[in-house]
Amino acid sequence: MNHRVTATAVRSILFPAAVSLASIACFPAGSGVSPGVTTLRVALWAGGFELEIEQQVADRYEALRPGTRVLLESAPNGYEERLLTSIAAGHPPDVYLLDSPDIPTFVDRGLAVDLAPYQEALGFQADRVFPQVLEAYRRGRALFALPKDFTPMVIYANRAVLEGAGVDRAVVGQNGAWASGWTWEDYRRAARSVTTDRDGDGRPDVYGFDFPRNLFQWVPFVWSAGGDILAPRGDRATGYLDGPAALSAYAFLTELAEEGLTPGAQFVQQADPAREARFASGGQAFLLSGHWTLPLFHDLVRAGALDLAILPIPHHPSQPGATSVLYASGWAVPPNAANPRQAIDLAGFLASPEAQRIRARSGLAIPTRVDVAAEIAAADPTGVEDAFIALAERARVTWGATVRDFSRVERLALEIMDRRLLRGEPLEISAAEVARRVDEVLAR
Amino acid sequence: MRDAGAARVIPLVAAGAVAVATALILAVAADAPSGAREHRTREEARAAAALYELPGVAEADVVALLDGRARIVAPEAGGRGPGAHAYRAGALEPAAWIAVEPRGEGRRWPWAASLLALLGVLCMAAWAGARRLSPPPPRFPAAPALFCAAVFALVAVAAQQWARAELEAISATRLAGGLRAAGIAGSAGADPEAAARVAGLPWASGAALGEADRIWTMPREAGEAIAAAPRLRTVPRYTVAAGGATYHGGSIALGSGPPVRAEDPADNLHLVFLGYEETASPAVALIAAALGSALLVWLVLFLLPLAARPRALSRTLAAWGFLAPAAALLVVFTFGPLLFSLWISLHDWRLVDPAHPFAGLENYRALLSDGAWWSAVRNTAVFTLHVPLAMAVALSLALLTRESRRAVRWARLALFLPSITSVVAIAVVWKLLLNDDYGLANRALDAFGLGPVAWLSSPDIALVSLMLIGVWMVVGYQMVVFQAGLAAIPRVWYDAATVDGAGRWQRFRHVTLPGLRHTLFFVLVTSVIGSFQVFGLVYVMTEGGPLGATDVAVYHIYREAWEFLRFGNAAAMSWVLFGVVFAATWLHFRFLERRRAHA
Repeated sequence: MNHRVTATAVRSILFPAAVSLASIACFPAGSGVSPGVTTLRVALWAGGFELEIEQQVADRYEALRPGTRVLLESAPNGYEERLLTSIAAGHPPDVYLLDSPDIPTFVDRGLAVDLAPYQEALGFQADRVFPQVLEAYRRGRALFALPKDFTPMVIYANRAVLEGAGVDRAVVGQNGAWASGWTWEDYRRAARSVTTDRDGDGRPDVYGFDFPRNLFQWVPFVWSAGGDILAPRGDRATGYLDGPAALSAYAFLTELAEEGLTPGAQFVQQADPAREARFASGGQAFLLSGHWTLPLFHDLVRAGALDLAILPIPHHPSQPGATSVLYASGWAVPPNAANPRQAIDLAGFLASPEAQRIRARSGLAIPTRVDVAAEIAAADPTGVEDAFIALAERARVTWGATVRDFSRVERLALEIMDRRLLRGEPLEISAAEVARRVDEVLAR
Repeated sequence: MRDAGAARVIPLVAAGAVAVATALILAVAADAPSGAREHRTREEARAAAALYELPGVAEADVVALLDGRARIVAPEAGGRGPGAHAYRAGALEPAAWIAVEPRGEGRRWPWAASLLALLGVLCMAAWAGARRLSPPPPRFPAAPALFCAAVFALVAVAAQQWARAELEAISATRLAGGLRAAGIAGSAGADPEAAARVAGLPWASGAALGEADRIWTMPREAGEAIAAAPRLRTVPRYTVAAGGATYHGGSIALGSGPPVRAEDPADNLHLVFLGYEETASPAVALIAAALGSALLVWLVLFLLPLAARPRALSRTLAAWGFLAPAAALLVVFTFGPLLFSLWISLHDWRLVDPAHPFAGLENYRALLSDGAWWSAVRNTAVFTLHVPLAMAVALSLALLTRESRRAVRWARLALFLPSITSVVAIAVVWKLLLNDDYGLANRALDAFGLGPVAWLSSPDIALVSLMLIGVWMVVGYQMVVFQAGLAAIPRVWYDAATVDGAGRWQRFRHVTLPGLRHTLFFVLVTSVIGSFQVFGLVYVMTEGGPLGATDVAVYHIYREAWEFLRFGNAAAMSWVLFGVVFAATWLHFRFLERRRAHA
C-alpha cells in the first residue's frame, strides 16, 4: 500500500513537472512578455555608466511607442563574435551597433539593410551629420547605418608635466593647437624634456608618451607624413606600407622608444592598463587616444588636479598639417530582423538628436549631429569639446571601414615595429616583408 | 575472452571502414575537381569582370578566364608567358597592366587512388588480425552485408538525386534573381551595382549579389555578341559530379534599359553573369550515408545473434533504453559538433557568408604550407614540456605533505588553490606581476640588484614565463592526485623493503614509483592533453606575442575563426590538433602503459 502511495505521489509530481518543463522548453527565450507587446532587441557594447545612459534612451523610446519593449543586449567583450553568431544562427538582434572597422564585414556580406529609402520617414537629416562620418556608412547612394557618435584620435597633453619640464605654458596654452607648429621635432623635443629620472634609480619616472604599437594608433603618423598604408583603392600595400612616408613614421616612433622616452612596450594589442593613470598622475606628458578616454579625467579636471590640453597629432616637418584617424559607430538593421519595420524605426530614434543629447551625458564620444555636437561644445567651458570637433575636421575614416578583413592587416602590421624593437631588424626589411603578406591577404 | 571480443569487433570495423572509405572516395573523387574549380574561378570571374571594362580586350581571353583556362598574372609579369596577352588597365588604375596567361592544368594528387589503396590496407589489416584470433572469427555475415550494401547504394543514389535537385533549384533561383536585378538596373536607370542590391537574391540574405556575380552595362551590340558567343554560353557555372554523373548549370541573365553608356537608350543591354560561389555539395549526404550505413551494419550485426534469444534481446533493448538519454546527449552535444566541425573543415566556410563552397581537402592542404600554424604547433609542443617538470614538483610536494599536521594541511590547501581559481583571474594577476616596468617580479629582482627581466615582452622568455605559470597552476591538482596514489600503496611494502635494508631512495625507486605507475600515467596523459589545449593564459597575457613566440595552437585556431572568420581553416586546424593529441596519447599508451604493464 505504501509503495503504491509513494509511486502515485511520485507520478503526480514528476508528470506535471515534466509537462511544465517541456512546455517551457517549447517557447523561445524572451517570449515571456505580455501579448501585444513587441520586443526589440538591440545589440551594443556599452558597459557601466554608458549602458545606463543607453537604457535611458531605450526608456524614452518605449514611452514614445507604447506597446514596444526595447531589450538592450550588451556585450562589452566579444561583441563581434556574439553578433555574428546570432546572425548566423538566424536569431539576429533587431538593431545592432556597427563599428566603423566592421563595416565591410557586415555590409559586404549583406548583413545590413540599406536605410537610405527610409531617411525621410525617419526624419533623418543627412545634411546635419558630420559628412566624413556619414560617408563611412555609405556605398553609393545606399546608407547602411545611421551614425551614432564618433571620435578622432588626438594627443592629450598634461600641461603641468610640460611646464615642470620647462615647456612654456603659452606654447601648450590652447586646446586644438600647439603654438609653434607642432611637428615631429616639437614632439620629440617636448618628450625629451619631460623624460626624467627623479629618484635616481636609473629608470625614468616621467615619460614623454606610451608607444603606439597598434596600427589604429600609428596610422595618423603615416598620414601626417604625407603617405598612406594602402593604395588608393585599398587593394595593395606594397609601395605604401613600406613606402618612404610610412618608413619615416616608423623610424620616428621607434627612435623615440629606443631613446627611452616611452615606458617599455607590452607587445599586446590591449593598451597598457596603466597608461591613463600614469598620464593623470604626472608620469607621462602625452597620451594618444580618442574621446572615450575623456570621462576618466573629468573629475580630476574639475578638481583642478589635472591641467589638460587636447592637441592634434604632430606632423612631419615637410607637411603643412596633420591628418588624424576617425572612428565612428552607427545603428544598423539586419535584413532578417524579426520586426524589420519597428527595427528601422528604432534605429532612426537611436540616431535622432534627442537620443544623441541623452547619450552625450556619458561624454564618451562626439555626437554625429553637427547641431548637437555644437550644443555640447558650447556648454563646455574648458574648450576640450571644441578642440575635438576642430580636430575631427582634419581626420579621415579608418581603412577598416572600406577594406574587408582589415583585422588581418592590423595584425600583420604589428610586426613592422615589433621586429625592430625586439630583434633590431631594419624597418625597410620588416615593412617590405609585411607589405608583401598584406598584399596576399588583400588579393584573397 | 579478449580474443572473442576482438573477433566480433574486427568484422564490424572492417565493414564500417569499407562503408566510410567508399563514401569518401565517392565524395572526394567526385567533388574535389569542382571544388578546386570554384576556388579558381571565383577570383577569375572578378578579374574577367574587370577585364570587360577595358577597351580592346579579346573575348577569348575573357572566356578563358571564366572557363578556368587562364589566369590573371601580376602586372609586372604581364605578357611574359607564352600565349599571354597584356592589357593596359586604364579604366582601373592608370599605371597598371592586366595580363591574361593560359593556365597549366597542374598536377593533382590522386585522391581516389590513394583512398583505394588505404581501403585495401585497412581490409588487409582486418583480415590479418582476424586470422590471428583464437578461436577464429565467425563467418562473414554475407546476407546482412549485402542488405547493408544495398541500403548504402540506395542512400548514395538518393544523395546524388538530392544534390542534383538542389543544384537545379539554386540555379533557377539565381537566374531569377539575376533577371530581377537586370530588370531593375534597366527600369530604374540606376547604378547597376546598387540596383543589384535592391533587387536582392534570396540566397544572399536578400541584400546583395554574391562576390562573383557582376552586372555589366554595355552597348546592346556588344552585349548581344557576348551573350551569343558559343563558348560563353557553354561555360559551366556549376560542374558538380556525384556518383559518376555530372551536372552543368548556371546561366547568363539579360535585361535592357535606359542609357548608361550608349547615347541611344535603346542601345543598352545589362548582363548579369552569375558566378561560381554557391554550390551544393553532395559530400554531406554521402558522408551521412556512409556513417548511417556503418551504423546500420553495426546494428544488424549486433542484433542478429540476439534474434534467436528473445529474452536476451529484450534485456539488451531495455538496457539501451536506459542508456538512450545519455547516449542522445553524447550524440547531440559531442559527436554532432565533432562531425559538424569535420564538415566545416571540408568547406570554404565563413560564419555569415551565405555560400559555403565545398573545398575538399584544400583547407588541410593549405595548412601544410602555413608557417604560422606550424609555428603555433611547435610552441604548443614546447609548452607541453612543462608537464614533466610540474609532475616532478607535484610528486615532491605530495611526498613532503603526506603527514596530516595542521600546517601541512594548510600548505596543501594553499598549493591546491590555483587549481580552483579562474584562469583569467590568474592570468590578469600574473600579467601585472610580470610587467616590465611596474611588475612585482622585477621590483623584487631590483632589490637584489638583478634584472629587469622582460618576462612577457621578450620572444625568448615569454613562452618560458607561461610554462612556469602553467607549472604553478597545475601542481596543486597533480599533488592531490599523487597523494591519493600514495595512499593506495600498502604500508607493508615499505615495511618489507625496510626490513630488507632498503634506504629512502631505494624505497622511493622500487616501491613508490612502481606503486604509482597508473597514477603517473593518468597525470601524464591528462596533463599533456590539457597543455595542448592551453588558451586562457595566452589569450589574456600575451595574445600570442611577442612576434608569435607564444602563439599556441588553440589560440591560433581561435583567431582564425573569430578574428579572421575563416571557420573552414580553423576547423581543419582543430582536426589536425586532434590528430596530434590523439597520436601523442596513443604513443603514451603504446610505450609507457604497456611497458609498465609487462614490468
